[in-house]
Amino acid sequence: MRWLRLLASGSFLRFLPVLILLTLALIQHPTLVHFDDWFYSNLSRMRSVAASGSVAVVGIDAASVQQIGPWPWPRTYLAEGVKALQANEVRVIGLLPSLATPEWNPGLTGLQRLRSELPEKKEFAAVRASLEAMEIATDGDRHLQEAVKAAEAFVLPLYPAVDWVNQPQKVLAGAVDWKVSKRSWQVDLAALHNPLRGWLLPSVPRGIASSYEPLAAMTVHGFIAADAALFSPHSSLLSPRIGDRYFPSFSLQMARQFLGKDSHFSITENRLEIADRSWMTGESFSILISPDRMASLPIFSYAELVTGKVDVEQLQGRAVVIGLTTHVAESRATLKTAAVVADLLSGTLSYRPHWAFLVESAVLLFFAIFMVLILPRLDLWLGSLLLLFFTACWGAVVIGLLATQGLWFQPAPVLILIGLVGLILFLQRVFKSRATDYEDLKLLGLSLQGQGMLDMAFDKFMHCSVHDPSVQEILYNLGLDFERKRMFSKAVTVYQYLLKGGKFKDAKQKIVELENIEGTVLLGSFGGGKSSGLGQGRTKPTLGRYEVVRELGQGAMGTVYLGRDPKINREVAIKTLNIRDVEPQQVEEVKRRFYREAEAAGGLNHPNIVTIYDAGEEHDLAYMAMEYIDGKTLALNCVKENLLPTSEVLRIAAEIADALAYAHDNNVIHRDIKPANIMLVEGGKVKVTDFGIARVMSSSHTQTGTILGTPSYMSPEQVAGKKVDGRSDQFSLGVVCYELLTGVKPFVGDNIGALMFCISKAEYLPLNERAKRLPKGVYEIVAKLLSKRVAGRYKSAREVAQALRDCSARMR
Amino acid sequence: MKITAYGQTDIGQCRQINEDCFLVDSRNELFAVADGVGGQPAGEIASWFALDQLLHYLLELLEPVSDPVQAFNSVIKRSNLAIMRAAVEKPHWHGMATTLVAAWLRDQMLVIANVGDSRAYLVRDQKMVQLTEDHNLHNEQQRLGLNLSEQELAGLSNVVTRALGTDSSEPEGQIIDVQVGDRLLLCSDGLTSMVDDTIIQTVIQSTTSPQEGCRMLIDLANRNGGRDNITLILVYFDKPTLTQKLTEALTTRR
Repeated sequence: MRWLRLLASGSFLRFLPVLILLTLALIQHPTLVHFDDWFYSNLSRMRSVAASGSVAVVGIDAASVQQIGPWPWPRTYLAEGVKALQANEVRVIGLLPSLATPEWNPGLTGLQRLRSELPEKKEFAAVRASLEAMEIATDGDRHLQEAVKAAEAFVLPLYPAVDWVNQPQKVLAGAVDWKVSKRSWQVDLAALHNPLRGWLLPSVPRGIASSYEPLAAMTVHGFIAADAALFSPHSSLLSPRIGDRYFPSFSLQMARQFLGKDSHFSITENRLEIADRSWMTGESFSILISPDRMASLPIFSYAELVTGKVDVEQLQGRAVVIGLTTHVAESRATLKTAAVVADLLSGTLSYRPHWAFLVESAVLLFFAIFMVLILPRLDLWLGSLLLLFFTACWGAVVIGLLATQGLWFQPAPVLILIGLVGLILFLQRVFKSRATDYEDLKLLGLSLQGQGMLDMAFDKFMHCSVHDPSVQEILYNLGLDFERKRMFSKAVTVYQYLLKGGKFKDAKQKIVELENIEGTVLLGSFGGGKSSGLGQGRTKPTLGRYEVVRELGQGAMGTVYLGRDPKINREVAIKTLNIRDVEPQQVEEVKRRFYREAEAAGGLNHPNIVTIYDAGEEHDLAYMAMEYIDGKTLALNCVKENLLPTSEVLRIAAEIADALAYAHDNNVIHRDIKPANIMLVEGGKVKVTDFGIARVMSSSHTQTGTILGTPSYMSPEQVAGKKVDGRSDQFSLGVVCYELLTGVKPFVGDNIGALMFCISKAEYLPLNERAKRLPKGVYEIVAKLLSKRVAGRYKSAREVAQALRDCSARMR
Repeated sequence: MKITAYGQTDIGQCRQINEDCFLVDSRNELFAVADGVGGQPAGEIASWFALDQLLHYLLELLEPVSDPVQAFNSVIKRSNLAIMRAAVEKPHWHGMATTLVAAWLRDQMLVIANVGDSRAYLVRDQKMVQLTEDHNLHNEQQRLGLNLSEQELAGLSNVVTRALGTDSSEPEGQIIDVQVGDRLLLCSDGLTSMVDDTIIQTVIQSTTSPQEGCRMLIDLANRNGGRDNITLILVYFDKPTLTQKLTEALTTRR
């Protein structure tokens, strides 16, 4: 149904019918002409037809055939008809049945042979005489020739042989007597639009005539076209060109004979002149015949003619056409021929002028411009009214001209144009109105989509028409949303659905891309745990080479999953970073830092540091695979109810310090030491995580609340944005220790400003005032760690570890 | 270019009064949204007064203008002075304040300026870009490069650090070019806090007229809670119509 959308796409396609119709009209395509002829046949009634006083038809009809005998008749009967007409003082006789050869009369030849075989005896004289009489009686040709000789004017038909069109040379070769005076018959070639070139012959030379010889010499011939369009109202007054010759049509010849056998006969431009009459004709000398004319011809039965039942007055002085009227086709041919003669003789011709095309095209263009450019901008009623008015005007002009002048301009192209373009405009309006119906559905769907209920949103959008480009746009964005949640199969479904409405952006490529991601579908829990229902993932979800077993929780910058490395069958934790959460300009930068830090942290190999195994990127997730720690974070021990014993705290802090020492030796600063980043494994082992990752996120201004580090544990130089070194980690460690020992943070604030001020400038409540019964060494260590001046802290983390262990040892 | 603009405001679902105001002036090609600061008296007066003064001072600008951004900023500053004066004169207007985001179209260039947390977005080539920086505590912290936890951030987003009618009212201006196919959105935070950016983008991209877009966005914001007044102006820059092209062709030939 894509073409329906094209139709809605604007003026371009409204111009197309115009172009098509113009072309068709130019080449006078048969279908167009046929359609137009229908109009003509119906409208020609408007033209009053002068009485066909000069023409009559004698039809060899069914009654005649019944009475006289089966057709073809012996020529004696034809001769009778001719004689009968002659008796009625007819002016011109035209005989339509073809007389190409002398009659085949076996009876006559039999009689002749019989007579010649009779011996020359006196007793046979009577027999011989009666035989002679019988011969004369049955010699049809002779009778016919006599009748024709006696007739005032007689026209025979010239039926074209097959050769004529294909091999004019052959046809002309046999003809003699081409010597005709140029001047008399020359056709005027002045008019460019009339491509008539050649010679017009009023009579047919021997050798071409399609009647047998003695007869041909006595008569004139008129061309009968092999009329393919028997039922069309068109009729040409001249034959098609053969070589360089034209012949007048049968009807024209009859008219000429009627007006005077040797009367002046010429054709100039589109004007036909015989004697003192002249007619204008259409292109290629064609005229249009109205059905009325044909119906108004007086027709007499042949049988009635020969039995004398026809009055003299009815035939006197007329041009009479004798032709078959038994079958429809033959009858039509006969009547058409006669009708043309009647038209010519009565002077009321109808024709399509050769300049009609210009007028019609002008009108067509006018309507085209009106309908394509002006009509759409108008009010529906006003536009329809105007259109109706213009159409009525054109209709009136056409009918008026036909009725008064006999001029015919094709109304068909214009009417078809109006119909087509009108339909297109109507469809466009309907289409547009349907688009607004979906607004409610769109709204509902968008609202659901905004709340994360993507499946329900999709359901709503499916009720909208997918052919509407705005709906496709909405679906496309829904697909993107699905992708963000890593529900790739659903995204593919959405894209496939929207493509039903036609091409749209890169939906097709997306489908290919998504289908190529082998099995990576992670079911999204996105920003706060709101998931929009569980879809089905591909076979086994994977990320890189790791299988995803389950989700562990939300990390600093994305979801954390439990994975498995199938190659070495090891459990891993996979931390992910959603690239889409990062501003587009920053993506490259963030990725670069991500991998650099992963590389740096990956190079750390220490029992107290969570090892990074692998880092990579798939589709829109960057991930880091690391040692999976099944334990709990220290965050749980930061509340008064869960405080750890002091010795434990010291031990843990020492191990953290070990980790820091190792890291600092390798030029990696953690920057985000806090209880949440320190894991306690079964058996008490301490693991520090999230090395250097915090630094990756600090420069991106993300909006979805991803965590960027925790100011409560930041060192003063960090808060101030200054450059930091390992001793910053010491400060953070100090804060952690304080919290582990008291259950309270050393630095607090009502708002960020206060907090930052507190960290950088304010004095914290010293440890000895909060936790009274700790060993003195602890107070010292913590105080030193929490010194605001960098120089006031330990020189290295190693020293810190040492100090902590010493203190611990002294405790026991 | 065919430029169509439409503005709409809605009180939302929770508030008692609408303290937002908007201005669409097609003759002077000025579009502005103002969000009166709640918690201060006369927030709703502040917003319309600000827009009124903005137009007034803009009309007073003498052409030719050499630096549009500077000129626009100065117009805003003068409006601010007018507000402060008015606040002094009428005691029940004392302390009134409002945010402002304004767009001034000059030929093919758009001058954007903002004070406060009302925003201007541009949708171009299937991407939506926020043109202005919010002047709220959240952003100020980020600008200083500080890292805050999510809980701490949550409380800061609606604390406005700059507003007209206060001491801190320095507008931030920029100038961008406009292309055919661009769509401009000026809105108060009542829209962006209720509707996801992606949804806003979808609506803007999929509607053919700004009226439709405004209607849909306000409906969505209300459906999602409507916790604040919602105000937006959409300006669509589309391909010139046939009649426009013809008139242009004719006038340029002369």
